[in-house]
Amino acid sequence: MNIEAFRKIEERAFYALAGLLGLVVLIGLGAAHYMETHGHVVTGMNNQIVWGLPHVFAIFMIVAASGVLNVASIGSVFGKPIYKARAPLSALLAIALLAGGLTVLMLDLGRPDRLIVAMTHFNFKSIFALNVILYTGFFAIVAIYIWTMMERKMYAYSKYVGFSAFIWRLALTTATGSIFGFLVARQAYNTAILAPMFIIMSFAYGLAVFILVQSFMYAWNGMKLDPAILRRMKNLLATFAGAVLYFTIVYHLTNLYFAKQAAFERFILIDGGVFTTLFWVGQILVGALIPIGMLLHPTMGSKSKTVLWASALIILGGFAQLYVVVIGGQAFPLEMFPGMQESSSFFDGAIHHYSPTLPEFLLGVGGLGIAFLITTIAVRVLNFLPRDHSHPVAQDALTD
Amino acid sequence: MFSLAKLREMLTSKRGAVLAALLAVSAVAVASSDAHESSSEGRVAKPVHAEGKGDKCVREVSYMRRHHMDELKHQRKETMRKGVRTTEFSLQGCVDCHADKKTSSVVGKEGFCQSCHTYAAVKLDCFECHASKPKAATAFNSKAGQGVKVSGDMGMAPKMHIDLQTDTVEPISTGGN
Amino acid sequence: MDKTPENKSHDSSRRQFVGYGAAMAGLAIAPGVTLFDLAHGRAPEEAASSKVRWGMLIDSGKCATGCDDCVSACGKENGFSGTRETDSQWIRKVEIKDLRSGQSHSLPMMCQHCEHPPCVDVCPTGASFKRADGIVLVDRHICIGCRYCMMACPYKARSFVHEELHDQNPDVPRGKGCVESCTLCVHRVDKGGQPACADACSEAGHNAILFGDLNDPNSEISKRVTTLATTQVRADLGLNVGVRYQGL
Repeated sequence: MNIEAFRKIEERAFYALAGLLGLVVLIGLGAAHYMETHGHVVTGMNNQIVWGLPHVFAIFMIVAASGVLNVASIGSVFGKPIYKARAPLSALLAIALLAGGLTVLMLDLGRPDRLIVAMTHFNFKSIFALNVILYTGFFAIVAIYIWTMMERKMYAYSKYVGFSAFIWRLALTTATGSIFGFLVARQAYNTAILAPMFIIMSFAYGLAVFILVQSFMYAWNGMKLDPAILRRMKNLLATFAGAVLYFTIVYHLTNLYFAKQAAFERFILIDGGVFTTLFWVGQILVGALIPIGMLLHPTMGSKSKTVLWASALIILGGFAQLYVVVIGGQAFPLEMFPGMQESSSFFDGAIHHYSPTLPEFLLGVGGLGIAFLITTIAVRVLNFLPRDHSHPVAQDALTD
Repeated sequence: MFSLAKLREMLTSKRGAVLAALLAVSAVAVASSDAHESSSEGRVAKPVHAEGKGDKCVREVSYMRRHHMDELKHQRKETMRKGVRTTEFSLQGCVDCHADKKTSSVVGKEGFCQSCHTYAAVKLDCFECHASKPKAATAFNSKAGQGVKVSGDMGMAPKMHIDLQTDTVEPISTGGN
Repeated sequence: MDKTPENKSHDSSRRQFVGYGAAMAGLAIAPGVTLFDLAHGRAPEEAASSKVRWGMLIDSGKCATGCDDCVSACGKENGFSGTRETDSQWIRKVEIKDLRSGQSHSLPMMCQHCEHPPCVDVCPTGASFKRADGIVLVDRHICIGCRYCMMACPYKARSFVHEELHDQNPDVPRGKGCVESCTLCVHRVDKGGQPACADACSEAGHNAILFGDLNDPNSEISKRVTTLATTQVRADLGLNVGVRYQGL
């Protein structure tokens, strides 16, 4: 295929993809508009389950946004060449995913028209307010980071900016985890382990997203990714997925040890219906055991198809995990009178029900659309494609 | 993965359709957001300035036109945060005095607040939460001792506009100077 | 501007709580001059003071299962009803039963007006706040509807308005997209009255809800809180709530 013909197809493909993603975004915005005009009564959320599917999508994207920057950090901060070549793409994805996640979070507010209030009134004791600052700062730092990587004159600063981005990202995910960790009222939360757990979740989800996007870009340009690079990344991915599993086990073991948490653990692990299924099948099996097994398989593990499937499974497992954490955590009733059976017209003492509706799902998907639309356009106008051959060091690294 | 040739084939046939759908959706979105803003004669109706109930307003009319929002905002802080309940610049005072004689409301097409806000194209956010009718004309007129029963399915609430404006009890002091 | 007619109209409700003397004194004194019981005689231009801490003592021994006089009075005053999952419930009757002893209690549960409210801590914009006199409120002018306070409240006291509302009580503004909860009927308290639930409970002769100033050693509520065994729900959290229970 000659260059001319390739360009032509590529251009068409770009507009089609951008159009498709644009449509997804528009549908998401339409869903948000519908939710705003009718009120949250059109969603499955209620006074018991106050955060629903939009929050699962938003938190996934925000957590993955921070984790996807890991690739850049390994390159810039720890000086690994094959990751260095991927740093710009990793930084771009970080910005795109965060933008998508925050849009969903913002459009789900009861009063999205008051965004300006959220940006001008700060209660600094609130971890949420702190997050507003951390998110905006993240955008700024990562944007500067991209600049230092793409502008030759700024190259010298890239390491330092990369290091601050690394620290900032850890703070950001700590704060995201602490949104739940600092909730003293509910049994599912109220624990410091959620902060490091969210960090390690971000590593796994972020890398999985990165591997998928990278493969898509290579395929788009008719290029083949060096298997050695993929092999490195898949080992890292398996490690991260294993670490998520480890934190999950510690979290539940701690709870199981405390008698007061027994009922809650019973709910999540044994008789919580959809939450139990999502925990064991979604989070543990699909999100951890199967992909780890695939990635570590002596023969299958090195095939690019295996790595892609494993990444997809880890992402699916991530959604399942966040669904269990966010919604399962709220479904279990507040225990106001320990040792007593409670009942009321306000569903005290009862397992709370949540059945998501289409608008909130579309809003969440719209957020994903935003993330990938930004990526698609940016990749088209700027040079984000990882180029290993321009880095001779990378070649050396691959031979070891 | 997928091959570029296959993608090309897919796209040449579908690009037009996708773009058309995109345009259609955005057109509908724009149209629907404009729908409830449209006015009858293509021109925004001149604001209605019905006479208030008292002799005169708490300040000069020219001052009120420019600064009512500042005074209301100041008052809202005082009342909400500190519990100061002076009536001079209370929103309830405005509503009591300026409610339309027919609808006993400050909103609606001829409403004192809304007609002007529509003319000036300024969003009127107060009455999503605040009552747009004087207490005397609402279901919550405790003095009349009726306090309309709001039992039953609250889901019906948005549809069941209770209109008790037949009751024309004089509003309690609204603080004319 | 003359404010006395407004004050007079609230005389009757004031009488229920403070003695005649205090009420008359409150009327007679010039604004700004403080008396011993400035709490209930507070002039309209006077801000709420931290010398006062409003609270309630609920005697679950007098609170009957099945009675919801307080709940319906609150709904009538503040304009909510319905028990769908999306409906607001500022106050609800909770039935609790000890599974081992079989002992059961009935009690109203609402915002506990904590001294250290978790909802205020987590609110990103500062819309959730505690007034000087201990009443925890939502400033709906700057509430963005994020519902973080609902996640944080250990008492499930807060509700989110899921749909458009009409015909609100002019004294109780509420609307779609914001979070709300018991205001301790702040609009009544500011005028010298007491919350609708407490009124309804005593009017019906149950006298299970006692409203008053926890900071005033001479108030009935203070006397009872210091002499009787009272309970704070989820005392383990150390929130020092303003609503106490007796007989649990």
